[in-house]
Amino acid sequence: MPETGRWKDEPLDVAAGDNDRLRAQATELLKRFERAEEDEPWTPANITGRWSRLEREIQQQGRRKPSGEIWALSAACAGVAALGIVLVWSHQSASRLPPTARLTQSPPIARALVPSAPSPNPADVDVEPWTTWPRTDLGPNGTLWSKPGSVMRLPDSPTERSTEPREGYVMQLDQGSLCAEVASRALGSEGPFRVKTRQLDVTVIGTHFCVEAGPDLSSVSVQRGRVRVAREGVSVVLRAGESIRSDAPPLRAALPPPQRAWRDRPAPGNPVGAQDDAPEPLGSLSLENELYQRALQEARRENHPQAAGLLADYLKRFPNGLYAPEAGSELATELGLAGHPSAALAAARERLRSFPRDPHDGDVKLLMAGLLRENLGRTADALAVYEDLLNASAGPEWRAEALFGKGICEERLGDGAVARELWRRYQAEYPAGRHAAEVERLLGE
Amino acid sequence: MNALLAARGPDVPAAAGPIELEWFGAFYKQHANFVRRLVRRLDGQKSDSDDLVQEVFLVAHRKWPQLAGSPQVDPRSWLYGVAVRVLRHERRRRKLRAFLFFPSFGGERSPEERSREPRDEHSPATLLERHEARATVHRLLDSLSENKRTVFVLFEIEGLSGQQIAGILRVPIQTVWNRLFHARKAFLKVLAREQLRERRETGEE
Repeated sequence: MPETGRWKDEPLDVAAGDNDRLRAQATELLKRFERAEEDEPWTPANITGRWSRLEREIQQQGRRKPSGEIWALSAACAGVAALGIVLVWSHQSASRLPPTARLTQSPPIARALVPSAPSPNPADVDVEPWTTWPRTDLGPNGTLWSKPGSVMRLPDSPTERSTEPREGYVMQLDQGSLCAEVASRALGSEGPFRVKTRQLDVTVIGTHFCVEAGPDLSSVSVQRGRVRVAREGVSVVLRAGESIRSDAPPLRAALPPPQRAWRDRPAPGNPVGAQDDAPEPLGSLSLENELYQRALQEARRENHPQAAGLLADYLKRFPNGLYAPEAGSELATELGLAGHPSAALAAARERLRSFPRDPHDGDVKLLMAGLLRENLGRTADALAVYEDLLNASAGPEWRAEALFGKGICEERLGDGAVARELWRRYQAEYPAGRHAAEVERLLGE
Repeated sequence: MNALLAARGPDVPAAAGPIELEWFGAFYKQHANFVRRLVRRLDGQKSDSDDLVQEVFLVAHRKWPQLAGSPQVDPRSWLYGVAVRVLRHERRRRKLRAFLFFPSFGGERSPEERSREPRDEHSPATLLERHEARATVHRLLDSLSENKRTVFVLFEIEGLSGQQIAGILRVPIQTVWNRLFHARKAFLKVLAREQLRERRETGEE
């Protein structure tokens, strides 16, 4: 479909026919709308006042983070260790590296990738962060930084697809290093974003990650989001802060026994679960995509019982699947929307138990607190969840909700003084927060 | 150095590290009205739209290294992407809050809030006409799904190209055209229904 003209740029001649008349009216309406929108800008004084409030909020957020010196030191250490990788792999064959492969948890990418090589003397090395590598814009697929000298092949166009169905956007990395920022992938026809090395097949959804490839060894590390790393039909899911080498034990595990094919299963419209007890092998990403996408479609149509059933089915079949954390959160939400608060609470608890370090835990805890507070009448239990969020140094968006919600709980439990103190803290920390007007009203009562 | 930013506003710090607040303040003042207008177009005239503008800039401040490290990216295009994603996240939260009956669920602006807007020198008739146009368009947009509304606003009202929209939304360009087609169809359908209702109310039918 070629570029089309905008309605508001069209002349106002009314042509024959209802459709043309309607289009002309829409055109006129949009022109008037555009003029109306220009009528009420913020004044400079208004903008300056708002900037002051935003500046305070940024500074408050900055105080809760490590200092600039610590970030600089961490970045320098990561850069030094990254150079160590280059020195080790350019002077040794990969097979001589000690078999220390394991799933690591340390956040800095470089430490996770260097097995046991001694750290180079920082004074002797020249740090080269990946952000200085040549950058390639992959269009809607994301952005790529590749180390000079890397041997890789990209699809010829941003929309080129593999000949195999649902293979998605596939890159090949034969030698060298790359880091990529990939947006959350729309599922269905687009398929996943993948990087293949000689040993590994990396499947990505919405994340920032790096891949190193050598003739006999590859490794992957994840800074943000999740990737699935597969080798010879066996796969693991890496989360933020995790990394793995191609000779790591999980990737050497034997294939699980074959399960019943998707097409032989009963239709997944039944309320809960598949027939088999054992989870499906993680080899069939297209099946996961399909089931999860169907669940999301039902959720968008606000068919909450159906969506909940599909999500429960997904979790039963793929308990460690690529979308399992999201599916767990969505299931709790859909059960709540379908009018089953107790089941929603149980689903939320299970989601937290299964994925304790997921970056979206705060959302799930807020959902639990809300269910307890508003639907189940368990104010004291809701208070405990809000306290847990505040004690765990939650991110600002959760902390704000937790402060406000805890105040509501304290008031209902009869401790008005504590409630007011919490709301005053909310006002001080989040002067432009979502509940600012409500807090002002509550404090004024 | 981001040449586009330097040409359009304050000098951009060359390194993709933490930015000076003073610089970001100038950036905020330059683009605040643009983001406000964009948020209201994408989200409607809800009571918390000013909060969302702040949220967009908070996220922009956090994601600043993306812009500083991409010399060819126009800051407004980048802000479009930030705003679209902030709103997407906000809609999900509203859904959650509506279900949990949180008190501050966003709604239409109150008459007090509207009265705080600055007055201008146009005639009352013009102001009324424009106010009605704005209310009508927002009502029609509210009837569209998030995906259709976003594409419709970015193309028909913001005037972005299909390629730009595809880049902001990170979808293929064909998806943009499909959504626009359906958005236009839905917009006209609701417009026709409104006009029919008005004619019935005024006794024309």
